[in-house]
Amino acid sequence: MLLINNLVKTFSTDAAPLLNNINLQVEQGQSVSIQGASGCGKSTLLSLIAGFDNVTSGLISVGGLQITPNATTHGQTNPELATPKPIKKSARKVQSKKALDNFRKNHLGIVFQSYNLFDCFNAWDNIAFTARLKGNYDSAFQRTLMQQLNISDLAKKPLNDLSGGEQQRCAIARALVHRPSLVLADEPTGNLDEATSEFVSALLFDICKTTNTSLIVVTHSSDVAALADKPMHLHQGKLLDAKHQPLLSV
Amino acid sequence: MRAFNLTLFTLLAMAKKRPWEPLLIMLAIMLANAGLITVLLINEGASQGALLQSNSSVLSGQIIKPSDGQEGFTKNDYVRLRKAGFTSLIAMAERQVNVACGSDTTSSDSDSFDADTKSTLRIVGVDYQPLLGSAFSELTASLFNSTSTTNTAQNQLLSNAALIHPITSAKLACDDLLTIRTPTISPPIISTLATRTNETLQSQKLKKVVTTRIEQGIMLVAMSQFYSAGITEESTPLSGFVSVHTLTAEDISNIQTLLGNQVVLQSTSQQNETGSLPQSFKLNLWSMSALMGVVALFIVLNAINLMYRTRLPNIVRLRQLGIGQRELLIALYAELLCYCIVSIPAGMAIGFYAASALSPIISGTFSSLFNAVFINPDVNLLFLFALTLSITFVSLLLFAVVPVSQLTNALTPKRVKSVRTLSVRTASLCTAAAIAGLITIQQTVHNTGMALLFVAALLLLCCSLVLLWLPLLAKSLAVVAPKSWPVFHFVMANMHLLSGKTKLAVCAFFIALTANIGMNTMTDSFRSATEQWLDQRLYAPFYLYTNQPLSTISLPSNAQVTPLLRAQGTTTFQGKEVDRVSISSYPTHVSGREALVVDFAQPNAWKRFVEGRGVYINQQLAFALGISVGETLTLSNVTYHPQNNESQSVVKDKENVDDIQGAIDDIFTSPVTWTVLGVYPDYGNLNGQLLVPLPFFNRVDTASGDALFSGVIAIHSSSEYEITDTNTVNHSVSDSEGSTISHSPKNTVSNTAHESSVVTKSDIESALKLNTKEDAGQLFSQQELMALSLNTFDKTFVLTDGLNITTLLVAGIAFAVSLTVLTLGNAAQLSVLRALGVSQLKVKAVLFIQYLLLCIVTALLSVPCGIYLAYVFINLVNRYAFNWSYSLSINVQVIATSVGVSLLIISLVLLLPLGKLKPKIDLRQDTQL
Repeated sequence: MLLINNLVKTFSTDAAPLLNNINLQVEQGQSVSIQGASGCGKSTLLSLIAGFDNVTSGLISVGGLQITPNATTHGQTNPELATPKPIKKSARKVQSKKALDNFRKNHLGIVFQSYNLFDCFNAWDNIAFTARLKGNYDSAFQRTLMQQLNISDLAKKPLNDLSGGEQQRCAIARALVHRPSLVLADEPTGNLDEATSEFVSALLFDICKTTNTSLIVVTHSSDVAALADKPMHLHQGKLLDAKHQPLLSV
Repeated sequence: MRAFNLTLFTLLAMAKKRPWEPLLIMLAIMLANAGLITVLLINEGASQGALLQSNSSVLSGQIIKPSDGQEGFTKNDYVRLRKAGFTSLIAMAERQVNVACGSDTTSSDSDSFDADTKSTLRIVGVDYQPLLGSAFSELTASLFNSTSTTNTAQNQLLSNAALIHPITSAKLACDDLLTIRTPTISPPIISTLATRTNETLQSQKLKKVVTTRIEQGIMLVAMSQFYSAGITEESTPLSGFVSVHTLTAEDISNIQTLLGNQVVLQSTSQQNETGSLPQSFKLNLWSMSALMGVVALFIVLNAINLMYRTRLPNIVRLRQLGIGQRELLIALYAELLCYCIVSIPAGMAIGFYAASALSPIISGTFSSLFNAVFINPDVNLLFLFALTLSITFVSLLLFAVVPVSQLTNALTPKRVKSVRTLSVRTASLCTAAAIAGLITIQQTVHNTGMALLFVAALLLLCCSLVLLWLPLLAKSLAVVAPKSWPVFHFVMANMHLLSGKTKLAVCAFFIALTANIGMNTMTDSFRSATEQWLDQRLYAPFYLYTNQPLSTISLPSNAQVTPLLRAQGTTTFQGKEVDRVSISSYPTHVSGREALVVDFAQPNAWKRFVEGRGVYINQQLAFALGISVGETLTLSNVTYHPQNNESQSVVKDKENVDDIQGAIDDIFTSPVTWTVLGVYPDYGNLNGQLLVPLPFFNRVDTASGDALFSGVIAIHSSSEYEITDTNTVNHSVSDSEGSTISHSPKNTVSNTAHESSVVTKSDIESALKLNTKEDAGQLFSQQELMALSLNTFDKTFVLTDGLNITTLLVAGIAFAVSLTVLTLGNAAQLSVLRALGVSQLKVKAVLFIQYLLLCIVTALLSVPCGIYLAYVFINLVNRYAFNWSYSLSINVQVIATSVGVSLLIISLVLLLPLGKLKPKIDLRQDTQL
């Protein structure tokens, strides 16, 4: 589903790379959690996957779609990883931005730490937004999703009347309602109390599992990270398997 | 103090962090002050011009002229008089010259002295020496900025100068130098192009000095300059002696003895013809500037609100950290004061530049329309700065008190409240109540002040209604927007939110647009009413405007004439008195009847008018007296009209003024009582007027006819001339007296004669040139006069149109800038859109649509309000300020243009920030408080 091959990200030429030769493969329906110290590059990694930022080198591919068209590979290619299907060369320059927009619209669900719901919409319209944007709006599915997240009774409520936990559940619903193949969650429970955090994270992982959606969660919480199929740790620019680095995950 | 300093420092740091918001405030303050300064300067220029114009002319007073049959005086006569002790007499000589700008006549070739670059002026040479000892010395010192007070120095300065009136200067449109062209052989006093075509010209260059102490149409030069370029005492003798002191009968007798000839003592007095039109001009300007001020105030408040909204979290932190409410309040006002101090000088500079740039236009408008003077005012910069700073800061103190207080009271950041939208029913009820209230208040308006207050109330109430309806309409749009277009739906829903955040900017834009629509509709109604009125009123194919006495005008044999005679008197009705009412003659023939447009009239009014049983009065007089049709007014103190200038002066030279007044008294046996038969529109005239049938004036003799002649004659072909009742009335002085207007010998004057030939313009011009030695005046065809009148009409509104558009522009820009600032504040949500896969172009496009829709909704709401405002302008403001009104005509094109221009301005202004807008896609978006 997601393939990252020798990813390098440097913010200035003379500085050490923030992300150095990252390799990752996520299967369909698989969940990955990424932990790490503040400033280690967790959110940057998510931004690169989402196509918000450009990689310095390396390749990222989601569902066979290469989202780093202009990147050059400096590092060695990991032979164990499958080769991504490149976008047609002639269409790259012209369609790169549009292709990224379409990629986000059609394949990606994002859960922001600050929820980032639209204050001009009520809960229902906020959630429905991505599905309507993609063109696969299904009110029955949305209703089911909202029931699962226990926010059915909030549908018509204005956003300002919702609590933080309720808003985050709405944000999760929005990230899933258009049936993306990959969900990126950046500190989804960072603004929530422990109990709500546990509840919301469990829901997020469960729904992704039941909908066969891949999930990458960036978190500081070990409890949340433990829910993932593949807990990872980002340390000094390297992405390591957390099961093999127990001390680092503390 | 430490807390205050720290708070102010923090506030300024916040301003530095988000410079757009304070810049918007400063821009609004700057524009408001630029407008204020411009209007202040223009009004001050008009006032100072009026003040200067009220000063008497250098040549005013008594002038000794040679009696009939004598050519003039000699230098020896002058010397003899001065030696005999008449040192208050100043010799003067005059002739007519062609004047061009200094730069226009660098070539000595006479062909280059074409008709476009010259004007004919009366050049008056005076002996400056005796003038310098009088009050004139102060004038010369001020004219040349000379500290020298010696007569010699002043005389030297004046020796190469040509003094002219500002209006004359404006008409000449020259810079510093004037060139006078004089034929080398110049026996005639009047030299025209026709008489000197083959003559060589000598030019004199003189320094132009503008002063209101000189009459219009005159160029005052030193005697030495006058007698140069071949002009000698023999060819052009002295025309008279001006006396700076009043001469007695004994003095005249002594002068006659000394000169050995009879002299005529002529009194001159300067007419200040500024009337009240400049007052209306000033009122107009003040109204527009008040409008601009209100718009600017809304813009500033909007900017303050926007700034405080984004600052709230930081302000709350300041309060939470122990900064007191008082310190915070003072610091916030101190910050505003800083912005005022920085932006007011810039505004002043723009205002000065604008006033300076507008000066030629204003000067031209003043001289051509009002016959008044506009000068560049002399102002105290420091005083002006203090004044504008005080006005601006006090206004800010008063109007910003609510947002500042709210801000200083906040101890916790409260989330932005959702826009509360009333139901359509409630909004409709409120609107109905507001309209009913307005109509009720409208009935109580009975003077100009109340009318202007009503305009202000109307605008504010309309603003409230807009604030009521705008969210409703925005919400309706959000509801109907298809949800299958999620981005569009988002935009519509966001517009609903935006309508709450941009209240004040919407108000500013709404007021400016409403005023624009109101003013344009009013002007358009006025123009179409005037056009229709002129079309009907100008019944004759030709009109002659002349300064010649009526008795001396000759016209072709096939022309019939209707002169306009007029007197002036005082009208009274039920204790109300109106002075200086013009009593004008009106023809009683069919064309005249058809040309008379009336608002109200009695049955059989025309028949009774022809029979002399009543008069028509204009709207102005009807409103001023509060008189209606059928009621009776009293006329007294009738005299000849002071604006019958030139013919009047001719009469004064030759005839006894008392005889003329006696003749007028014979006609208007004082007091005269007349029934008002009808009320007619009389646009452009600020004074009262009543029409009496032309035959009413028939009893006057030639001299009195000349005195009553206004200088305007309507000319028909004989074949076009029809009468109402051939047996009962005569139609003009000439017809009844048979001698007032002379015709060619073979022509006979008859009302009933229908000659086959049609008079043409060239016929009339030929007759006028052949039979008169002097300038016979200007002949206009009906179409020319119509075009000229409408051109003059358009000129009148140039300035107010300019201010109006500027206000709209400022409001539009401020609105667009506000929206841009909000957009920047809303960047987080836009970034989410981008993060969710909406393309950059789509985000920009929908934002553009969103803002444009907000403007369109505001513009739609401003249309009915603008039309109502036009109605109020016409029926209340014009009614009480100028005593006239006319019917409101709603021109869709005019309204569409106003709306279209405003939307175009906003679209263009929006394109720039939207073009540069690049919402950053970032996972860590912060939502706004």
